[in-house]
Amino acid sequence: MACSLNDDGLKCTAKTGSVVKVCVLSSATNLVSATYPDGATALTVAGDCTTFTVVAGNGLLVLNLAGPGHDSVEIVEDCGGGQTQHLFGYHDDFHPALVFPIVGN
Amino acid sequence: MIEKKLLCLSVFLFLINVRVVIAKPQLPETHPSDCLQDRVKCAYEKPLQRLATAYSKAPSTVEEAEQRDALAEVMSFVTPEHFVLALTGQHPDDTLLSNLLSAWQRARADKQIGATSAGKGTTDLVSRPSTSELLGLAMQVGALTETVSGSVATFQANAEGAYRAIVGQPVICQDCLGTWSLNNLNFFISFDLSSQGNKNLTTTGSANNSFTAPSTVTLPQSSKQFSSLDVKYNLRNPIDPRSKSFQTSWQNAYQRHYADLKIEAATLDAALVAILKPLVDDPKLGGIFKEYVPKFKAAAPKGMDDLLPLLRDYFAQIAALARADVPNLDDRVAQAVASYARYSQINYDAVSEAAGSQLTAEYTFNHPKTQPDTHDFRFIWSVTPKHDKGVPGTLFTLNLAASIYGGQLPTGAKYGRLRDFQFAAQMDRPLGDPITHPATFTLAGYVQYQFDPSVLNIGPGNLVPGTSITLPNDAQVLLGSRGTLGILQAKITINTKSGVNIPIGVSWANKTDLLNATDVRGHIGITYNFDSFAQLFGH
Repeated sequence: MACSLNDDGLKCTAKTGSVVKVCVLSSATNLVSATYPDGATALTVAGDCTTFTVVAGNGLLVLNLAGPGHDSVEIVEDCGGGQTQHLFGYHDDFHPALVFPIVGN
Repeated sequence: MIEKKLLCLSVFLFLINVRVVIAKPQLPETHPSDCLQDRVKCAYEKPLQRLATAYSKAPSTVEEAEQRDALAEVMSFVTPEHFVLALTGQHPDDTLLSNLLSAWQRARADKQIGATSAGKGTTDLVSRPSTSELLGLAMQVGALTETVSGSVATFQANAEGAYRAIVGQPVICQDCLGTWSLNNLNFFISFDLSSQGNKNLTTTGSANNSFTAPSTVTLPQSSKQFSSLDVKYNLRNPIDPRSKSFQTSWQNAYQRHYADLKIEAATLDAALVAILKPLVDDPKLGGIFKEYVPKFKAAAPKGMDDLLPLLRDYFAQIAALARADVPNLDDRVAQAVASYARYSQINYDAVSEAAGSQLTAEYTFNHPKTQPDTHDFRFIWSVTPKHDKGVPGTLFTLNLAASIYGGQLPTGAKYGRLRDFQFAAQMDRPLGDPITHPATFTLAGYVQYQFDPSVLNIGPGNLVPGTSITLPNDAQVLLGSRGTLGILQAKITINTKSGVNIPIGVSWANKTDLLNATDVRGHIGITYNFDSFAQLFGH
């Protein structure tokens, strides 16, 4: 299956109305909550994944994480069929919030 | 002589530490000492190092992904704490973040800065499990188990904190606790400031003819002598994300703190989006990205020397955009910083809870001036039980220790090698704000069983009673009594914002080491936790 997000490294673009599933992969870090596109609209979190529908224009996906200080974490788009797309990752660190600009077009 | 050498060594190490940290050659235009003013460098040092490292390796599929992530961490807002922290330095009076983080570190109830219970000049009846993460300095007046009070200066250093300070890495790395690291190793060295000594000097003749000079004179000598050396190692502080046991504990702790995290996350998201959304909506941002992506890619392989000036230019443009686009930017940054601090505190509480209890081993070499040397071996166990949200956790600490006499026992000694066993318990209850609590209330109890009366060294020059025979250097007498010594202590420690803590306590003892009488006395001290300096180093 094709992934919905087109990541240029600094921002993502996607077709407006497409449904995107983003997951947190790590040993111990959890996805606490997520908002999109305005910092106020809470998304449903299932396990360490969240799903949202891309809106037109600029939106910010905010992922709130909780975990120990030196974990390795990868954020991926779950494209379905076992396929994932790497969005961002870090090692031996902790970030309370990750922000992804997503442009719907 | 040994005392002088140890004093010189500790002062030398202390000065070396500070000198190296302040004078360490860093990047052009920057020094750790001006890190508070140079908030951009502080905020972005770690991601910049990541970027330089990522581009220092030969390209491969893995490295390309790492280069892309590293560039995103520097240029985009994927990890917005760097941008927010850098923005705090744009306002001359803005010290909110550093105040919050360092106040929380300084106010932690599980840290011990001063000398431990045995010996003069201590205000702590029970050893705590943790210490300052960099350096500590304590001046304390009083005594708990000893009959004679004194004043003692104690230097404390954490091995990893000192190392990080020397090499310019961030000193305080919240939650960064390895399964094996220098972070678990701490040293204390104490000097007795109240001892007054004498020194005999040979004269070289009379200064005038009307007076016959004595062959020797006795002069007072300041003898700020070595009092004790203490080595502490955390045996159990298990925060290993890959271990199954930690993962299980973490999931339980996470579930308990989930509701608090979620509430604070909502505040944090709103604060961040209020800053970042106007920026991503500004078409000028795309132009800045387009201009600086190739510049960062070109500078990264050359290392930090090229990256830092470039980052300054880049950040200046983004910050100017933020000033133009975000209404009340300083207020919004302050809200984000406060929310970061609260969120991090909840996360830290959950991580600490997952780690469970701490177990620390401690060895102390005591060198009292008028008593034989002793070696103390102590286990320290502590735990902070689950507590209601918004309420600071209460720390419970237990100590189990044994003390033996050092050196060779004199021939015919009426006392054995084993001096005593000790058991102590303490409750530290932070008061006030759950993050920065301005004071800590402490209740402690201590029981020591001593197998023989205390041994007192009698210095040369004393006479055997009723004779004119001078006692030898190693003459000793027994004083006090064998048996149980019990002490109760109540104490308030004032945690100031500047890193200075002031413990004020009162204790009751059924006896002291030399006298068989109840004893009530006060204790006061002043300790300085150099974690406040940690802001000056690293990011």
